[in-house]
Amino acid sequence: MIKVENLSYSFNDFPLLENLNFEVNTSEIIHLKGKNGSGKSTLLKILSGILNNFQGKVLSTAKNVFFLGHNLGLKESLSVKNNLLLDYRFNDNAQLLDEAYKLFELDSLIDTKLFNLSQGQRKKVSLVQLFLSKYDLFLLDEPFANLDKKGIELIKSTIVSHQNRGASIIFTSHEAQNISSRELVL
Amino acid sequence: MKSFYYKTFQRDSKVYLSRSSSFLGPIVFFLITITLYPLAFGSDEEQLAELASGIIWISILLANLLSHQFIFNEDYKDGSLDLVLASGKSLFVWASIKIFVNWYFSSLPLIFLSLVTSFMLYLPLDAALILALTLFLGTPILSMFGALAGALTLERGNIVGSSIVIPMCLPALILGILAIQSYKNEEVLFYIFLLAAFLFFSIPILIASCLGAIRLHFE
Repeated sequence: MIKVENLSYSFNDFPLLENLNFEVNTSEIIHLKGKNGSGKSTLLKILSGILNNFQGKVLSTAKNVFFLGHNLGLKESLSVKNNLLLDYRFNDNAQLLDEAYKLFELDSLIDTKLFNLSQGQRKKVSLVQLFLSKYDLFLLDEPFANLDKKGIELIKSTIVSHQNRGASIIFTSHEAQNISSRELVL
Repeated sequence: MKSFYYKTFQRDSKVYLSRSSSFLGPIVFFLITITLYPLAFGSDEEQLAELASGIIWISILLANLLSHQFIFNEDYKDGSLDLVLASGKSLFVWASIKIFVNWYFSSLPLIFLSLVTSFMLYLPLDAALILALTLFLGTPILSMFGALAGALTLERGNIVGSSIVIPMCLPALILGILAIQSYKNEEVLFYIFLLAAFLFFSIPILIASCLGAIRLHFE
């Protein structure tokens, strides 16, 4: 799915990633680990096409990429419902959306504006798209952060279901997660 | 399934409507400014009519400055821009939609208001219609320059953006004012065509410049 060859990236002349080589196969879950500032988020941004001033090669056969960053891409002044319906990644499956509201315990908050929600609830809103989307490649930066135990389990099962569908997933997390096929340490 | 671009339009429109300061701010600012000019210059009809075109154009330019930070800045801060870049969709079309929505909510109401306020400043009807036409052609240019300033200063404040955008907008402002002032002569067409040409050439150049400026923040 992805082949990275001799990837290097510098930020303000500070070398962040140096000579990285790895491959990600179809239906694989990769846990990207590393210290703070080791370049995990940067690597995900390079793989997703957000950053492209790197050295080396990134070859990808993924037709579409789902990216979830530290900043969730949600609008504070919009309701939960509008944030989800107007996200370009939403596949217009209203029935599944109703199911997702219940699963993520957002059914009582659908008309609530985002600025009234806690960090954990906002995270859940952004993760509803992860549940609904059918992408080839998922790049998830700290998907478990700010979530309660139930939320973490829900995201794990969502990731595994995407894997079973044939998608590849790369996620970053400081905690050990038991769903990954292998770990990649920066 | 609704397209990426249609959703961008809908989402931005809803954000503007849900956050009244983004579109009411320029309107209130414009009305206050326009009301202050007669108080400062007195109620001499001839003098106000002579100054009206400049007063309205300058007020609209200044009112526009209040809104240009909304075009890309919020998307950059809340991570929406990351998602757009990762989507692989045409950034040119995306940026065009965002600038159009900004123009629709920030400038279009001002064009209609300027028609009303032009009578307050004793501008003759013929000149007021030319004023509306020049604003239709000129305000998209102001929005695009505003977008460029916003894109260049994504991580900085509004003041830096404003100091960039005002000098760049001067040609549009001058052409607009000259067109209104020569509404009785044939020269009016010349200025209007120049303004139209300015708009026509600005669209690809300024939107591409916006994308270049945005890309600079991801280097």
